[in-house]
Amino acid sequence: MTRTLLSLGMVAAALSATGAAFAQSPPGLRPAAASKGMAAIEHAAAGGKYLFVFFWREQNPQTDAMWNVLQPAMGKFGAAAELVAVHVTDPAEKPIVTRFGVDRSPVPLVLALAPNGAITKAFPLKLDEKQLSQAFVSRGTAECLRALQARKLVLLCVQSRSAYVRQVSIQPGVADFAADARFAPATEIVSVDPADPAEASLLRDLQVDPGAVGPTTVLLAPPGSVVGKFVGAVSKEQLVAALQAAQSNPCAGGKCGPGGCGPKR
Amino acid sequence: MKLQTLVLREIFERKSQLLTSFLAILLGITVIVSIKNITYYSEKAVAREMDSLGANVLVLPKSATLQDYYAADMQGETIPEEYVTQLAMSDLAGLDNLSPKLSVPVELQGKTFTLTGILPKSEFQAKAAWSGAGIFSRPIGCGASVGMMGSDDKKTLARKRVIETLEDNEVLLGADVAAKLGLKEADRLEVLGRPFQVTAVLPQTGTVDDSRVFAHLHVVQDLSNQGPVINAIEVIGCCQEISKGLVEKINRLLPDAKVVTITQIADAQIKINRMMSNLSLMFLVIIVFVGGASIANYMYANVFERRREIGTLMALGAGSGLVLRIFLLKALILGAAGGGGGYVLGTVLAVVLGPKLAGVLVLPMPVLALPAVGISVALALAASYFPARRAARLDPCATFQEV
Amino acid sequence: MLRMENVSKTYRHRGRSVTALDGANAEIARGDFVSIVGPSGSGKSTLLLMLGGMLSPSAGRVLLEGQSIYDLDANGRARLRRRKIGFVFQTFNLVPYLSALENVQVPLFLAGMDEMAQKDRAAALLDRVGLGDRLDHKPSELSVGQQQRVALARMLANDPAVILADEPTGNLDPETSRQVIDFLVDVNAEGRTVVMVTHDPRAAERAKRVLRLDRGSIVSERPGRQARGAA
Repeated sequence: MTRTLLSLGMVAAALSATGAAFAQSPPGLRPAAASKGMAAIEHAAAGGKYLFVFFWREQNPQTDAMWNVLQPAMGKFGAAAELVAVHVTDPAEKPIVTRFGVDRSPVPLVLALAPNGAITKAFPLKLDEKQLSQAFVSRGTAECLRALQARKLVLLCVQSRSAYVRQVSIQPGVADFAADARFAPATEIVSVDPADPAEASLLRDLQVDPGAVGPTTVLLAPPGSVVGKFVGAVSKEQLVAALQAAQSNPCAGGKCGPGGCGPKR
Repeated sequence: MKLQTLVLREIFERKSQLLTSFLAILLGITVIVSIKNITYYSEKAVAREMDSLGANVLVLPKSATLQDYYAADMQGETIPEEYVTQLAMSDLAGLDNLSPKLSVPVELQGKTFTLTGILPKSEFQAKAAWSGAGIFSRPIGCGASVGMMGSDDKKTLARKRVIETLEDNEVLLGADVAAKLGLKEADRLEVLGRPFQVTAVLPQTGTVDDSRVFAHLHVVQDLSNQGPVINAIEVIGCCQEISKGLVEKINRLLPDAKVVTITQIADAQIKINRMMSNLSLMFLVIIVFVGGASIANYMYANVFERRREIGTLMALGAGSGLVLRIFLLKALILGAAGGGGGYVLGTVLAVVLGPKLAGVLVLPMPVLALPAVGISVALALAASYFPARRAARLDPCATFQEV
Repeated sequence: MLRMENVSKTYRHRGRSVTALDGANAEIARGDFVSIVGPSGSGKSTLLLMLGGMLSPSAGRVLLEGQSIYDLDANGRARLRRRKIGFVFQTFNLVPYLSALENVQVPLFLAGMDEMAQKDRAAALLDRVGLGDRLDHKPSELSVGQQQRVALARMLANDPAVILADEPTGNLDPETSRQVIDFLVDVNAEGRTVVMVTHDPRAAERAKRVLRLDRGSIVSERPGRQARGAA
């Protein structure tokens, strides 16, 4: 048991260590706005707007096609979103290219960034207008994505409380888990109100009943796996056990890899 | 004087005539034994590699062959690394555990090893979360990544193919590399002019992984001046998803790559092994016909040549049973010597050539000795039966010049 | 001892019926020494083969000690030869890849004697024919005369009551021929019945009786010199 807990702690530590690279940099350390892309990110974040970043390498039919879908769509989104085009081979844009690893990604590529910095959708090589609107997500979704993209565990608390009192009303078990030194650096708590119509699609995806009495807690692990779902009160031990179970058995039902659909022996 | 003396004396007196038959049976058994022996060990190696290979789907360059799946990432053909991102960003379920690889040969202390670049999960997992809100609606328990992080996760690379983090100056050593170079954890090592620290020595797997040096993919790309390319992507796909056509979906996503399941690769290997066993069956048929015909022919000639001698033995009181026994004992000795010699020669051949031909360690298989000798003895006896019977029915008058 | 009753042998040769023996009758008593002479193709060897149980007659009976040989099956006749008959051949018919000792051992081996006893007896027999110092020589390493002596030793191996000799001196020089006939006279003197086919008139004369065969029939019978000398 001690060993396992220790290992879980190491997992959390590993998550936090690498997470830093993808987390938002503190404002004081932001590079000078020599990069048009970085400047656009700052601008959109400051204005609370979505940003579509269009990465391209060379002008070709594929690039043109994507641009021709993207640009008219921006008009429809109006003030909700901004757009920036980044030429990936431009030395000035190196900071943003490196930050998103675009040099090793398929290009042209459109990334949609929420105001909080989470990437809400990536569109490699092609896109259509319908897909673009999927980039706009709820606050709760954006918060979960940002934490997961920072390779943190997410404790999603679904409870009928307004956001500003959540610190005091959080469940003791969830608070205990988040306060544990082993998990604290790599754990984030996100609260959503089931009554909020904006969160309905997130709850539907997570198969959480918005009409349930009492709180529901969902433990998410990167990149977006549901590790545990608890209706009603939850203890720290239950959360640790769920994490442990997911760790020891990556494929529920043992259906991956050899012995799964690998050759039978 | 015993029956054996009589038969052995005759064999050694006229050994040159016997040579063709002996060689036919010896070489036939040699080939069968060595094929069987090599096939057995190569099958075993495939099974072991299959077992140790955590992945069940491989993404390979279009031109890669399925002949040797384990060396598939060693063929020098490459695919762009962006395929990894494309897979990670796709909304295909069951694709969390990707293991891209680039392998180049390196020489360390005068010995050749394989330097394999791997991409730690930390570098592409974030991109997997770029697929946005849809990620939450994926089936639960399909390669949940948390489980892929072990306590000493570096060593789980050997089994799980995926590693959480790997710094630019870190290398992981396969068990054989560590043993041959005398290195252990925390030692320093220079590869292609760049200093590294040994982060871990991987446990023995009995596969080619044991002679690999693992480093960060991007470092290997830099050191080999290859740019952002890889040889293969190993994928742990969910069976449920594979049966739902995951391979086809990946194929549609990456039309310029070849996507195969381990089952297909295993099938290819099984086909080769089946071919080898057909080949050995063919050889068996050949020795049955050629060897058998040669023995029968030799025996008929021998009976004809010895008819005066047989007549003499009969005049001296030998019954037909004894004459039959003389020829059958000779066949038995011929078969046993051919089978035994063929087993020894075939085993030596397999042990020597196995590593060169099939790339596997081949050990002698005593269990083949019995069938080898059995087959050749049975063949020799069957081929000699009719000539021996003719000898037994020979007219003893042949002894006399005038009838 | 040996008796032929109306024995005939016909066989087909190139589509023609050939009569090798034609109603031959003969009676050979125990201890007799008979030479059979006659021109080539007169049926001498056929007669000898029949007496040895190696060639069945077309008609008639051959009896050895009252037993009709050809009423036995082939293996029964082989057993009979093993126990009672010793053969000598014109070409000696030694087994080329066996030593002198081993050649003499063959009939002993066929009779089921154990190996040590075989060697002792074979060595004693070779000693008797004057080859005690040639035991390990192969036939090819021996002179023609020595080879026939090995054959004589082999002939005696199982202490046969009847000795059948087919041109035993045919390949030998006069001196060696004389020695071989002397030896046969000796074994005859031991009480063995000897039947010898020969072309050599001098050898034939050494027998007690001389039978002349012509075109498959015994045309004359007269006593040999031995009998005359004794008389």
